[in-house]
Amino acid sequence: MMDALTLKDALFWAFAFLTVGFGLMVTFHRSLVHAALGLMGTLLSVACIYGLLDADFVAVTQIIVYVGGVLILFLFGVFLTRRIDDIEVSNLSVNWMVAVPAGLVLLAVILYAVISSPLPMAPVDATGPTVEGIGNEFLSRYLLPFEVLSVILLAVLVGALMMARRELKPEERD
Amino acid sequence: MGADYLPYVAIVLTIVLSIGLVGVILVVNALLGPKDLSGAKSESFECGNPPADTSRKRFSVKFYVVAIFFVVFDIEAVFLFPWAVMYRDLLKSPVYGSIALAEVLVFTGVLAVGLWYVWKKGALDWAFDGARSGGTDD
Repeated sequence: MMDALTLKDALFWAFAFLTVGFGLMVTFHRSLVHAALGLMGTLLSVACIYGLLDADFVAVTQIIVYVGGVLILFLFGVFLTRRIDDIEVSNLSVNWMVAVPAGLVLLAVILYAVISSPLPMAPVDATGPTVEGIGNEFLSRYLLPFEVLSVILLAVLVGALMMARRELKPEERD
Repeated sequence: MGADYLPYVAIVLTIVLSIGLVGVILVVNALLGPKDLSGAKSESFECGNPPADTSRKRFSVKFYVVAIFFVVFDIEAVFLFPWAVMYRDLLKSPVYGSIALAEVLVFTGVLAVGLWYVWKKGALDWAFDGARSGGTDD
């Protein structure tokens, strides 16, 4: 029992340091493409932490949606930037005067939320796969959010089409 | 180490083996492969054609739109997994089975309408000749 506990702790600290390290890479690397790779490391480390917390569905979702999908969006976003041709200094870390206070305010809010909310210290007996439980809740108690979610995804589809519409016009595409 | 770690051991083994295999191939290649980087060999390989242009160009926004569509249906698939896991159990009761089927049909139906819409608007036409997009507004 003690052995498993310390192994879990060691894994948690390893993934926590990986998350923060890759996060620093996202912020400070001079190339946007490398920053996006760092983001992949961050998202994967967070997925591992989810796995450590026995949240298997959330961990797999993190990998499928964020590593597999959202990261691709980021890379395409990089390809769409104006400064893509000078690869050396494409990560323009500007506006320090705004970014530092904004980051400090966000940090204060997060710290306040962590300190002021009581952490549940009782052991949770939710080991094993969580997917059945989630499916059960979707089909009964959270049915309305489940169906509303499809409408939100529909809005994303239509909105993406609308925003890109001018660029998708047929003329002068090379 | 309890038995509940066993699935993760398999995942970790897969990751370690795949990274190790790639590393071994790279190291062996660097050690044994002949190195003669000159002329045409250092150009980027485009299926045998000579490179037409630099690769560091801005891409068409079409790629981004398709990526957004991919993420949308990715999320749809993720939300179908819990339903699919439950569905076999629910089928044992005809009432619950049909209710579950109806619920997921509404879910996918809304997204099918969205797919039909973007298809009809021509966002999936890669060549984009403008014939199906209407091209009358804006």
